[in-house]
Amino acid sequence: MGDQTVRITIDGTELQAEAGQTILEVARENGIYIPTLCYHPRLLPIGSCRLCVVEIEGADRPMTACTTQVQDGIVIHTQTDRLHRIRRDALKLILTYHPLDCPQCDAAGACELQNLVFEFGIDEQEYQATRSTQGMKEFATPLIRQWGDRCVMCLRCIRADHEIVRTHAIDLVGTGNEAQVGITNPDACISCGECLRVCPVGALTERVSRTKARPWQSQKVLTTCHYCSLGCQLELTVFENRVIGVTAPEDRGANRGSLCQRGIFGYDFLHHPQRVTAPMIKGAGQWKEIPWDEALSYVAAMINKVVLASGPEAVGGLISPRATNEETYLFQRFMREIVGTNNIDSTGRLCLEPYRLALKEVLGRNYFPSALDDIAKSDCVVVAGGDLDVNNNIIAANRIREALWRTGARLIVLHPRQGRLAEEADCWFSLRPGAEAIWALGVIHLLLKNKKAWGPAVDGIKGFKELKEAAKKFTPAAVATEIGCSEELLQEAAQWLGQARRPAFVCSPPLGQRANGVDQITALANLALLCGALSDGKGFHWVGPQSNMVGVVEMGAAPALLPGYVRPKGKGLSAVEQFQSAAQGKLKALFIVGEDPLLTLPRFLVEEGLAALEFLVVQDMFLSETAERAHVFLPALSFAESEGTFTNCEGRVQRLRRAVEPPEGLRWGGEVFADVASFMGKEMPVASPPEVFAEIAKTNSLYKGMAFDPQAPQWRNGGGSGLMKKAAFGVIKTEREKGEKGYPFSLAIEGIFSSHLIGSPRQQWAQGLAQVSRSSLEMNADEAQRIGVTDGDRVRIITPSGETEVTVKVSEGMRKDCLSLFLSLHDVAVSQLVGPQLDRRSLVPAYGRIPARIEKA
Amino acid sequence: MGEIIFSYWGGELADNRRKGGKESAAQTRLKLPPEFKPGVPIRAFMGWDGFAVRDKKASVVDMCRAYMEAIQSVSCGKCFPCRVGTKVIAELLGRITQGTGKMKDIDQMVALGRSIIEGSKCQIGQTGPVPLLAALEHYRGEFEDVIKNKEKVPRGNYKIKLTAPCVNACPAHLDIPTYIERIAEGDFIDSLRVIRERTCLAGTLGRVCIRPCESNCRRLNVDEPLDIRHLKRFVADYEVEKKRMPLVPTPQDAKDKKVAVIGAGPAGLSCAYYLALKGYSITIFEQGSEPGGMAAVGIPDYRLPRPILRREADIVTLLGVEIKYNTEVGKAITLSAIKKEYAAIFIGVGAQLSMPMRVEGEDAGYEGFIPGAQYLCSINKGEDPYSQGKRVVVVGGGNVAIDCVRSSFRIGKKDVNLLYRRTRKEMPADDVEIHDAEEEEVRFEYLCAPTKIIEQKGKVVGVECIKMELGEPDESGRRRPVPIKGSEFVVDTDILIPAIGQRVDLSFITEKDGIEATKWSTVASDDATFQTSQPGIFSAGDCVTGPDVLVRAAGHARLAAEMIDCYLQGREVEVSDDERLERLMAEIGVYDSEESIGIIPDGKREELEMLQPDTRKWTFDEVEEGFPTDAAMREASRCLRCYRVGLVAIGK
Repeated sequence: MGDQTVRITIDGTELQAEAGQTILEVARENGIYIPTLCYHPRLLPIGSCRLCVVEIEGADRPMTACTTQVQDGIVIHTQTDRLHRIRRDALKLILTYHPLDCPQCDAAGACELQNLVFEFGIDEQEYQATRSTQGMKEFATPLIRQWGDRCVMCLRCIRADHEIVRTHAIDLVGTGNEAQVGITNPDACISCGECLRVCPVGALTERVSRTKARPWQSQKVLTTCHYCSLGCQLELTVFENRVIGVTAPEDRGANRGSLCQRGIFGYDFLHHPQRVTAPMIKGAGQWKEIPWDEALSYVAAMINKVVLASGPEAVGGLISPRATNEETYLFQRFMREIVGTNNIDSTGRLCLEPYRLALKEVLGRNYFPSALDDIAKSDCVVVAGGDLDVNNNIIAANRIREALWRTGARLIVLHPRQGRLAEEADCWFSLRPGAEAIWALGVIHLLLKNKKAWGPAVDGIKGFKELKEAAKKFTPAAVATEIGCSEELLQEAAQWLGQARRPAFVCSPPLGQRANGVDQITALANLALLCGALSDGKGFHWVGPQSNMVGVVEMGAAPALLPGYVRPKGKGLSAVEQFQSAAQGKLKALFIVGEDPLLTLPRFLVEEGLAALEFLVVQDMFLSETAERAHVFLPALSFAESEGTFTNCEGRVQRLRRAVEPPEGLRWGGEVFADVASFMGKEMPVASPPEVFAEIAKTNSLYKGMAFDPQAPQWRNGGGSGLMKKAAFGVIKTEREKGEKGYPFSLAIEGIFSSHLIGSPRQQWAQGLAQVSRSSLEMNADEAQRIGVTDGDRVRIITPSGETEVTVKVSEGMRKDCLSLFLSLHDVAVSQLVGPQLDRRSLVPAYGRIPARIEKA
Repeated sequence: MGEIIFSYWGGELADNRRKGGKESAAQTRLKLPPEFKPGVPIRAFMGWDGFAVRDKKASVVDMCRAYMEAIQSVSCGKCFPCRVGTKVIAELLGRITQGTGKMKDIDQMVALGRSIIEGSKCQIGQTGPVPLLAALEHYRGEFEDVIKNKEKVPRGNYKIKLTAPCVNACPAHLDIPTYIERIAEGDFIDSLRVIRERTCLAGTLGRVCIRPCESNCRRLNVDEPLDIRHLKRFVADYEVEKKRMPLVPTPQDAKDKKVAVIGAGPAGLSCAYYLALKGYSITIFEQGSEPGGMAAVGIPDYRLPRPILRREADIVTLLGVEIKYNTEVGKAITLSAIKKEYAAIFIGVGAQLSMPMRVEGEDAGYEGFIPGAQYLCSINKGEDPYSQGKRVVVVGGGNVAIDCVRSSFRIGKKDVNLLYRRTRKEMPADDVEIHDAEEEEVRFEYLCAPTKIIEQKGKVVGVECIKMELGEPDESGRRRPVPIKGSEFVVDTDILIPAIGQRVDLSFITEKDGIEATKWSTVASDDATFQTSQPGIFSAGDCVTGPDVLVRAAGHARLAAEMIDCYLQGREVEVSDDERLERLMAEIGVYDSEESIGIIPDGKREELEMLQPDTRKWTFDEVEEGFPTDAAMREASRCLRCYRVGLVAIGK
């Protein structure tokens, strides 16, 4: 499909089109208007509303433009009396029961039905038909209301649910005029809002914001989502300086109009009354508001004091992966140039580093130009690491789903739990985290036998012989026993990967967040290299939980990396090391921007470190747990108030735009750092975000020549060419894991970094989300029965480092010796479970493998 | 009940209302039988192409009301004109028959009816108002009278049936448009759920069904019929590939009666499946060690891999059915013993024996003389039936013959020949199968028949044949082959395989059992009720019909299960109204190959990928690969969803 050009005539104009395109697609591309209602570009066309009917010469019946493919030589008419009558009749029929409550309908002014009725000049309800009234009800999620009487039955919501998310929470129920959108499986609903987003009328409305406004009263501001690394493009609806809703444009970003639960509903924290808007200083355990200058000069004085007494190495800095590139760039300049230390880190690095190191090993480079659009075109997808559905990367999961029916892709999932993707998989390996390398070697062993399965010129790549040697002992029998699967399943996976023309790997944390974690990813990258997934630069994706995970590292928020992955002279302390150093009395002052390490890093280490610090300054929107321990608190801008850029996991550099004016006096991070510098007696010129970006575009080779406000989507430099120049199969170790006595389970924490800036166990700032999203510990059903717990019970997770309580979710499809803790909004104090051991290469704590045992709470 | 007094069907009008009694009535295009069932006359019929009236007492106005209400109730609720428009009309007609209609309603119905026909997405809406518009034209006076006189029209007695050309043609009446629509929507598991409402053999039928549905597909009038068979295979395979537990319907509450099923072939499995769904406890007695019966022994693995049949038997056992393998009725257990223990028995033993060729030496037991079914059976067990033999001659023109030649390559025979007494055109085997065998380079000898087996030391060394020519057509419509005198010739061969037909082995039935056989030595069971001469014993499938297609065995077994249910529940054992309606629709003709569909051809049927002839010929790997997901969805989206409603006004 797609490689053949055909000529067609629409309304007298001869046009070129690609075979396989529909008439509607061609018409739209050429600016020819055909009315539609049930059509949506992201959904399969169903031709139900009958508005897009066209006449084709040679066909007696009008045909729907959305479902009819173009063919060479056809002559189409889109505007005839007959068509006008059919369209008008269809609309009139909807009005037999549609309430004329436009004045109080949320959609008024942005309603597709309203526009069509206006366009066709329908001014009476000509026909009558009874239909039982539906009233207003809660939909499959409490965050959405359903107004059944307003529904035009375009079925877009059902199709979005079935095709994009594949949850089947809603479906068509009843027949004839009584047919309606019914909630058939509310438990399946994941509150992603995909249904709400595609509704053309006011039949589905959201209930996060209490304030409502008409489209003509409000503005929409295009910006970048601040939650995960996919960097979804969204539009904030702003009314009277408040964000009252979120939508997404169809044609932008990796999300192409889709949003997840967080993106669409997680905005109410922006206007939370407990937000702190003035600098504060703590005196006698009490916070006191003080003027900015006073606060900043105090911070400067304290840093100066520590530097003078103990040298610059006694100061550390942490910056959140939800900070903009511009803030991060200036913060690392502040730390490196003004303070004079490399002690700077970010939890963003903890998520990216194992991947970067593996890439470095296999491709000799720090990053990989991957585009999520390519996932949808792949014919075999391997998913490793986090559960994308639960773990805040559902947009990526949905792109994989798209591949399943678009290209008939095969799906291989590696995860201890049978999540939704695993259920749709051809091969699901219930893998113990950390066994990815063994699995990959097992598949490599099989693929090496079949030259047809290899990517181009594989045997010429450095390390091929060694790989062959290393894979020798990973026979299907040995691997199957080791990882606990059947040999046939392994063979099947090898078959799908071997046959694939466009294999793709989609990996995410906690993959790699463990001892020898880099090896797991290196092994997968070796496999990707072998089957050709790396050669065109399109098949190795890394998605993470933080919006600017990639950007902060590329801006130099790393102890051993300057901006642009340049090695500094000397090496600073990583995040965890800073607290260790503080506990030892070496590091004395800490500047934290947006991070909440008590919640995300090994807690008792952080506690020790914080207690020993002489000075702690925290900049945040809220008084987070860590901020409560600070000496000085500086308020921060929300993402909706920020100007700047994020770099998403694909390498897209995307804008944040100011949608609401910040509270009076609030200033952006860059200005804060510059002011502290000047109070320290040093100079760091104050610059606006565009100016800072201009400097980045000059000095950082990855961002060279970029514009702050580009015309077209902008990608970080270093695309697909020459990718394989330094390719080499990496050397990996596959040590057998030693269990820890008394801790029979291997616990993996997913989502620990997803809640920055918006909450903690005691502080639920995003109240909308809190209604639909709860943390849970997934546990094998037999194991649960053994300790006498069932679904919904509370259990205590005990690890060598600490314990916490959580609600358990019992599942048949969970590996017996594994536990998956899916965190949502930190309603579980989980950082105390994490041990102090770091992977020696990536300096990342072992979030992905914690020895644990479970007791009934 | 007399002649048809009015008929409008397919655009043809036959109006006998004003004609005198002696004048012969105009011929009607609609073939309407006089009775729905014995003693129940058909007064009128209304359907997708018009209507016909036989009895003046039938009110056309009320029939229209009932018909439009039926249309509204089966409208899927998706497209706007049909969903709302037919409701508007149904309510207008409701008002009129209640005596509260208005004259202007007639014009509104005409306008709206036309608009629905023109604007609807599928045949429900495209045909729904057709009889109404005809009635408003030819019976307008009746409508006007009812409205003028504000009379309440008494409600008639109607039987309503939803069908489609493909559904009607399918012996098992699978709900084809719905399961195909599910595929187009990407909801594959639900598609399979729809299929399993009617059969447990989705994977099997999806591979080897002779697909009467496809020759009754309206898409054929536009370009090519849908590949319905392989779409069914696709969803069955999808469930397997995705490692899902088989999805089975929830059975009704358990009933305390036990039923025995003899034979785990397509008929036996299907009957057991239905009875299990109805809550009965079922035991299947199977002489072999594998499920599938003739489908397992007679169809080679390259067309129907064994795991497919096993999985389908698993689906039946998932419902609690017990299959006793290696239990030959007549030897391991007698029929009378079964009769004592079970409340009802279903016989579905198939036609396992080869028909004799009636040639010299056939019964002499020469080595190398192997009947077709037996030959395939040992190959399917993984054996070479006669390893000394290198050259193979198969006699026959049906699917078994083709399976024998193609399987021969796959056990390493290089010299493979097929003798058939007529020409390729008359061959009863599936055309696709013949084509594939030709591609694999089987040598075909047409117009010849064996006359004598040539042997040496008790081994086959050749077969003497005689040339034939085609004479007059016989009762099957095929031209009868006539031998040409003096044209005898010899074909050298080591193996001679007769595959000219199958017959039923009734040796397990003793005289004492009292089950009558037909003169063709098949089980005598009633066409409609599937009862044998013994109460409580039913039979269907090849053992009743003689060798026939798999889907018919499955379809008949489903009906037999209904009858067994009637019998066990103490109801009269008779054909259900639903099945009667389906047959009535068939009589009327649901598919019209002359119909102009009015749309332009929109893309061709998707092609399955096949192994290349030179590779596939030597292996038992499945020759055809199934549809990939994207192709299946594209293929499914070609469906025109030709549902249609028939309404029968009955007397009494």
